[in-house]
Amino acid sequence: MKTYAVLFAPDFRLQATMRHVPDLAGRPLALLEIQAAKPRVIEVNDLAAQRAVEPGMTPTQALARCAEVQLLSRNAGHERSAQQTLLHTAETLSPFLESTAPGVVTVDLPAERVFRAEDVAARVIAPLGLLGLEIRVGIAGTPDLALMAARVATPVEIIHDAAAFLASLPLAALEPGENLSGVLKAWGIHTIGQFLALPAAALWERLGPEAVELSTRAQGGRSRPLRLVQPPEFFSEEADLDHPVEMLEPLLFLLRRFLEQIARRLACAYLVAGRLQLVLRFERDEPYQRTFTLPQPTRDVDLLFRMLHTHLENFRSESPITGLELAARPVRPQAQQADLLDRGLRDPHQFAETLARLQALLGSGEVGTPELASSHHPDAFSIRPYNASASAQSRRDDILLGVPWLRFRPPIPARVIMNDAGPAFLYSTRSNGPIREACGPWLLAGNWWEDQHWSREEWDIAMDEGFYRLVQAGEMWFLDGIYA
Amino acid sequence: MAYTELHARSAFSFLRGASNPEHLAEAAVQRGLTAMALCDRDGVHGAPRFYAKSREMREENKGELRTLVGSELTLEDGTVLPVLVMSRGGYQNLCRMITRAKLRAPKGESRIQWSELEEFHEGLIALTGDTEGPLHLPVWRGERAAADAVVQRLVRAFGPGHVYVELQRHRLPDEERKVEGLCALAEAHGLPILATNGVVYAEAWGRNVHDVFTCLRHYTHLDAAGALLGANAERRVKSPRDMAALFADLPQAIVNTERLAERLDFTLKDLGYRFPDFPVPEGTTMERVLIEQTYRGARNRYGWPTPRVRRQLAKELNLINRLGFAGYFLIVADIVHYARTSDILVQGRGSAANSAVCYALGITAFDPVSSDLLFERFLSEGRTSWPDIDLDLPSGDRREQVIQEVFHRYGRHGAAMTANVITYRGRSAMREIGKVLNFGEDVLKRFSDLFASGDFEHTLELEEQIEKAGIPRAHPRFRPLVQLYHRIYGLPRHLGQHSGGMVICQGRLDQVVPLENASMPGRTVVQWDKDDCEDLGIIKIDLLGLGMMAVLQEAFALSHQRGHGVDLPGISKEDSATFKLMQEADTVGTFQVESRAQMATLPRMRPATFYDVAIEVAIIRPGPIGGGLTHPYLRRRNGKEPVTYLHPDLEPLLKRTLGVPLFQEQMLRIAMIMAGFNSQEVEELRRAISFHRSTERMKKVVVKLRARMSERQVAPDVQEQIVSALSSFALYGFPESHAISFALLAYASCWLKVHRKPEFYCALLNNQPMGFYSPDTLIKDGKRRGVKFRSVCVMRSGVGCTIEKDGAIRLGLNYAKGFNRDKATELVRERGVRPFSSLSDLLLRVRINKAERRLLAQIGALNQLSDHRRAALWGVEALFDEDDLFSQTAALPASANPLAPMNPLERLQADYDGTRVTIGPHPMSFVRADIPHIMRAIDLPHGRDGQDVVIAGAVICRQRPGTAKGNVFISLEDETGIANAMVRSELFEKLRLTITHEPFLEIHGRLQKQEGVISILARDVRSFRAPAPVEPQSHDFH
Repeated sequence: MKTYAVLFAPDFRLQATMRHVPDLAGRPLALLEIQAAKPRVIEVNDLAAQRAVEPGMTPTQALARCAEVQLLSRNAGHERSAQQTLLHTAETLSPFLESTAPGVVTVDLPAERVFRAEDVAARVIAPLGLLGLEIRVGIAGTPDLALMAARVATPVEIIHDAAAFLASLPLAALEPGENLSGVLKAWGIHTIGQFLALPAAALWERLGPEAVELSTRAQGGRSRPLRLVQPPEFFSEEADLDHPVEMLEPLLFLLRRFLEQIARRLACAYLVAGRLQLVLRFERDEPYQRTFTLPQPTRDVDLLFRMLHTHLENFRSESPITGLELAARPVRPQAQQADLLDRGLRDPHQFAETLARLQALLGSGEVGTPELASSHHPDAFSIRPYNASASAQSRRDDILLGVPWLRFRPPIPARVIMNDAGPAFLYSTRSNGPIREACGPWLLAGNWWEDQHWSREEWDIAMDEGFYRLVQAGEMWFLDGIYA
Repeated sequence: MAYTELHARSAFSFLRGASNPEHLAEAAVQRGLTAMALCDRDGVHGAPRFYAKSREMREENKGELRTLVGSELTLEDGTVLPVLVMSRGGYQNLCRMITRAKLRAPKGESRIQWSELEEFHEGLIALTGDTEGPLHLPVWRGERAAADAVVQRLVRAFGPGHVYVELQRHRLPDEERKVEGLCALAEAHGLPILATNGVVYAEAWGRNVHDVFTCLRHYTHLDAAGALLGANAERRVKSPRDMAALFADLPQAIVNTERLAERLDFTLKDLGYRFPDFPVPEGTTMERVLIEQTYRGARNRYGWPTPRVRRQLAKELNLINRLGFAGYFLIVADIVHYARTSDILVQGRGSAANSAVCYALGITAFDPVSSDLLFERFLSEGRTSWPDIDLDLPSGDRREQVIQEVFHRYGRHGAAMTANVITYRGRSAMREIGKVLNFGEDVLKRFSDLFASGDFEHTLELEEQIEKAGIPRAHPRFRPLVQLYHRIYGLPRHLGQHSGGMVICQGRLDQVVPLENASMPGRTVVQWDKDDCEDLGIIKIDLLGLGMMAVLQEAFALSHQRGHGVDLPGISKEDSATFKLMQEADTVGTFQVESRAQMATLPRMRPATFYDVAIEVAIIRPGPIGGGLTHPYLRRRNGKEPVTYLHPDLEPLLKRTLGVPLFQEQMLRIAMIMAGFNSQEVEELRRAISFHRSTERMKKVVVKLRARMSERQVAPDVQEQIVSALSSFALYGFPESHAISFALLAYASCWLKVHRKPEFYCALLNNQPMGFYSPDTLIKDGKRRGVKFRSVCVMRSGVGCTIEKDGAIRLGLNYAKGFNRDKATELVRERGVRPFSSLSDLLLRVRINKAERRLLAQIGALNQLSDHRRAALWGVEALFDEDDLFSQTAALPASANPLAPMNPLERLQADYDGTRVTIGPHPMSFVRADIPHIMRAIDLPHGRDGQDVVIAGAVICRQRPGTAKGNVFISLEDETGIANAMVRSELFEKLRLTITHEPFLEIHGRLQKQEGVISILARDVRSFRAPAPVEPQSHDFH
C-alpha cells in the first residue's frame, strides 16, 4: 500500500516573507495582499492574532485594532525561494516530490520504509526550522488525506483510521469551492462528519458533481499520481572561516578553489553556470550579497574568476570576513547561432568585464545606453542598462528640429556683461568680444516639486565669428553650443 | 501702450486653468489692465464670478475692470477655438451653440461642428487659438496650404473682420518660428494680428497648480509627465508694459487688442433674462389675479380675516405688486397647487413663511400674523433681488414628478436645475495632489481613513495630519504637498447639480446661460450655481426633497387606510404626550430633533409649546452655538440666570427668546432699533447674512452698523455683543420663519411617533436612507416603544413594509438585499392572483434565480412554505433553476430535510447578511452574560454622577461637530437602548482609527448626569469583539 507525506507550512506567505526580516520576530505581523484593488490582510502571526488582527481586514482596520502591528507586503520571490527550500528538504524523505501548492509539498514515500514521527521531525521539521520555516507533516494513504492530516498535525500526524480522523475535521479542510462552501455554511454544515451524514443522492441532486467530488475527498480521497518535480540544483560551496580574512589575496584563493569545485560538478552534469551568487559574512555587519549575471553561460574557471576578481578589487568592508558562500545557478549550454547581419560582440565576456570595470569606476547607474528624457530641460537624458538585444530607440517625435547646432560638452563657462537690452559683452575661452545681437531670454524651469528643481535663461547671441547659445543657470553663465 | 488680455481661462475650465475668476480679476487690476476677456472651456462657467468681482472692486474703489465674455470651443476635430462676444445677440448665439453641443454629448463633453459656427457666428469674433487651436499644427509643420484652408474656413464661418490671428509669446525656444508663420499667414489673408498671453493662472506660482491639474487630466504623476508640463511660468496675467515689451517688434498686435476690446460691447449686465409671466385671462392683469387669489385663500385660512390680517395682506400685496413680483407668487402658488392636486405633500419654507400672502395662497402652513413674524425679512421696500420661496416636497419620485412638471411647462430650453460647484477640499484634494506627487496608495488611503471628512475643523494642523498618515516632515515632497493643498483648496473640481434649485425663463433659458446634461436622466443643468444666478438676477425656485415629507405623507396615508386618518393641519399643536416624548429625548427617527446634540438639549429645554420647538430647532445650529448663545438661553429658561436685555429698547423684541437673539429676524430688528437702519440698509444686512460667499459684504455692513450705533451712543460692550452675534449668523443663521416651518415637521413627526407608531415606523423604514439612524436602529427603537415587527415573508410581505391587521409591521421584500424590485412586484402580483401553495408552486410561478432563492430562504422569507430557514435552504436547492435551460420544470419529489434549524446566533448573522437589519435579539444580548462589568444603557440613569462605568455596543453614530472643538460624540446601542459618550479631542487623536473604524466599541469613562442628560466622558476606548461578524451601519459625521 502506498503512503504519502505532505509537508505543510501554515501561513506560508507570511513565513516566506518573515525569513527575510528576522528582526521583526517578536512583533505582531500582518501580511498584505497589495495587488488587490483594496489591500487586505491575508495572513497574521500569533502575536497579531492575539491582538485581534484578522485576515480580511483592511490595513487601516488592522492598525485600528493594534497600532504596533507591522504590515508586510507579499513577495513572490520570497515565496518561490521558500518553496524551493521545502522541496530541497523534502527530498531527504524521497526523490518523488510534488510541488502541490505554495507551502505544500507532497512526497510519495518509499513503500519499503516505515516512517515514525521522530524520523520525520529529525529529517524535515528540524532542518526547516533552522531555515526559518515552521512546518507540519501529515502521513496517510492518499495525498488528499495526508494534506488534511498535515493541516491539523502537531507537528506530525500519521493516519491509520481515515474515517475516524476525518469525521471531526472542519469542512474547510476539504477546501470546497467558494460557492459550495457558501451553501454548506448556510446549511450549518461545519465538519466533514456532518457533511458525510447528508444523504448522498439528495446531495447530488442539489449540488451536482462538485459535491460528489467533495464527498470523495471527505472519505479520504483517491490515490492519484503525483505531478513529480525535481528541485533545481544549485551548485554551491561555502565555508565558515576559523580565521577571519582581512586581505583580498586569501579571499581570492578561497574563491578560486570554490570555482574549481563547482566547475567540476557542472562538467559532470554537462551544465554551465548561468549566474553566480556570492555571499560574504562579516564579524559585525550584515552579510554582503552579490549576484553576477553572466553574459554567456560558462564554466570556464579563469573567466569566472576574473569576474569575481574585478568586482572585489574595489570592494571595501568595515569588518573582517568570517564566512563566504558561492553558488552557481546551472543552465544548459547555449547552442545559439549568431544572426547573419548582427555584428554582435566578439567577446561578450570581455565586454561585460569592461562594463563592470567602468561601473566600478563611475558608480552604478552611470554606465549604459543614454536616451532622451521627456522633459523641457534641453539636455535631459536617462541611462538605461545596456542590453545587447534591444534595438536603438529613435529620438522623440519633434516635427521640426530647427537650426542645427553643436552642443558643447561640457558647456563652456563664460562671463557676460549685461545692459538694459540683455547680454552685451562675452568673455570665454571660445569667443570674446561685444555681442552684436541677442535674442531671448528663453525661460525654462522644471522639477519644482523636488530638490533637484532647475531653471535657466537662454539667449541666442551673434558674435563676429558665429551664433552661439548662451545660458544663465543661477549666477553662472555658459556657452551651451554653436549654431552650425 | 494700452493692452487688453483677450484670452484667459479660469479654474472653471476644470483642470485647464489654475486660478479662480476672482483672482484673475484682482491680478488684472493690479497689473493695470482695464479690460480682460474670460474664455473658459466650452462654457461661461466662471463669467458671473469674474463679473461680480469687477463690480465689487468698482464699488470699493479698488479699480475698474471691464469683464468681457468669451469661450474656448472644442470643435469636432478636437481643436479648440476661442471666440469673443460682441453683443447680446452674440452671447445668445454662444449659449445656444454650447447648449446644443453639450446636450447631444455625454456629460462633461462637447464638440461643436464647423457648420454650427456658421449658423451661430453672428455677434462673435474668432481668434485662431494657441497650441490647441486649429492653426497650430499646420503652421508648426510649415504646411501652408493646410493653414490657408483653416483660415479660409474661419473667415467663411465668421465673416471678414471677425477673425484675428492670435500670437502668443511665452519665452520658449522655437516659438518665434510659429509667430513668423502666423504673421505671414495674417498678411497673406489680410487678417489683423492680435497678441494674447493665453492666461491660465493669475500669478507665477499658479504654474505649479496648473502642472498638477495637467497630471490629473492625463492620469499621470509629475515624475512621469515630462513634456506635458509647463516649460515655465509665463502664462500668468501680465501688465500692458510687459506685453508691449514682448511684442515690441509687432506693436500692431498690441494695438489691435484695444481696438478689438472696443468692439466687444457685451457684459453680463446685459443678460436679457426675464422671469416668465403667469398666463392670465385677457382683460385682467397678474396683479389683479394675485389680489383675487390671495383674498380667496385668506377666507379659507382665516374664515373672516380680522382687520389686522386685512391690513397685513393689503400692505404685502401693495409692495409685491409695486415691485413687480406678482407673476412670481402666482407661478409658485401654481406649482403648489399642482403638487396638492397630484396628492403630493408640499410646504413652503424659508423666509416666505413670514408672508401672510404666502400663507393665504397655501404656499406656507403657518400664520405669520398671529406669530408676529417680520415680513421685512421676506420682502422690503429696499429689496431689488427676488424673494426667496423654497418648497419642501417628499424626496424621491414625488419630488421628481414636480420637477418634471416644471420642465414640461417651460420646455427643455426654458427650465433647468442650478449647478452646484464641487470644489477641491479635504481628503479628495489631498488624495489627488498626493497621487500627482507620486505618493504611495497606502499613504493616501491612510490619510483618507484617518481624516474621513476634511471639511470639519480638525484639531490637528494639516502638517500633523500628513505626518500621521506616514509622510515625515523631512520628506522632500512634504512642503510641495502642503503648499499645493492650500493653493488648490477651494478651486472648482467639477460641476454637480443643486439638490433642488430650478431656474425658469420667459423664452429661451439656453440664450441666457448654456445648459448641460445632468447625470440624472431627463434633467438639464445651467452652468452657474445658485449664488451666480442670484447675482445676475436669475430667479430660482427651490424644490427641495425632504425624506421626512415623504414619511409624513406615507404615514398620513397609512393612518387613513387604518381608519384613523390625520393630516398635517389636523395635528393638535398642544399635545402633552408629544411634548413629553421630546422632553425625554425619545426622538430617534423624528425630524431635526433626533441628532445627538438635539437630544442632549431637549431634557434641558423641556419644550412645552410649539414655539419652544421652533426655538429648539434653531438653537442647535452652528450659528447660535458659535456665538455662545445657546447656553445663556437655556440657563435663563431654567431660572439659573436672570433675564436681561442688551438694551432696554430691545425688551419687546427679545422677550420671547428671554433676551437672547436667536433668529435672523431679531438681528435685523436689532439693527433697526439700535442703529436706525432703514429698509434698504436692513436689506443690505439681510443679504450679507444670507450670502455665504462674501465676507467683504459682511465687513462693510458691520462697519456701518458700528458707526451708526456709535452715533446713537450705544455702549461699546453692547455694540461688541451685537456684532459678535451678527458674525455668527452670517455663517449659519436660521430665520425664525424657517425654524417655524421645520418645527412644524419636527412636531408632526414626534406626534406620529406617539400616536401613530406603526404608521410612523413603517413609513420611516420605507423611505430610507434618511436621518441619523440606520433602519436597524429604528427597528430597535420601535420595539422598545412596543411596536411589533415581523420578518420578510413571501406569503405576507409587500414590496415595501406594510402594517398587518394587528398593527405589526411586516418588513417588505425591499429589505431582502439583492432581491430585485421587479421580481418583488411580480411575486406580490402572483400572490394576489392565488396564494402560493408550496415552495415549488412559488418557484414555478415567479422566476427567481438561485441566489435570490437562497437569500429568501436564509432570511426566513420562505418559512411559511417550509419548516424553518434551513429546511427552506434544503428545499430550494432541489428545485429548478431559472438560469439553467436544462433544469427540470417540475418539482422533484421532496426528500426529508436532514438539516438542523439555525440557532439564534446563526439567525442573527443571516438577518444581517440578508437584510442588514434584525427583528430578533440585539447582538449584545448574546454576550451579555459574559460581560458583567459592562453597564447596560438602560441602567445608566440609576448610576451615580461621577461614577466610573464601562459601556459597550454597536456604534450607531459618530459625530464631530465643527463647533465642538474637536470633541467626538459617539452613540452605542445595546439590547436595552442607546448610550451616549463624549470623547475629548486629545483622546480621539490618540485612538482615531479605533474610534472611526470599529463597528463595536467598549468605552471606559465617567458617568455624567446633568439636568436629565446622561452621557459618559470617555477615558479609554477599545474595540469590542462582536458575537458574530456583523457590521451594523453607523451614520458618521467626523
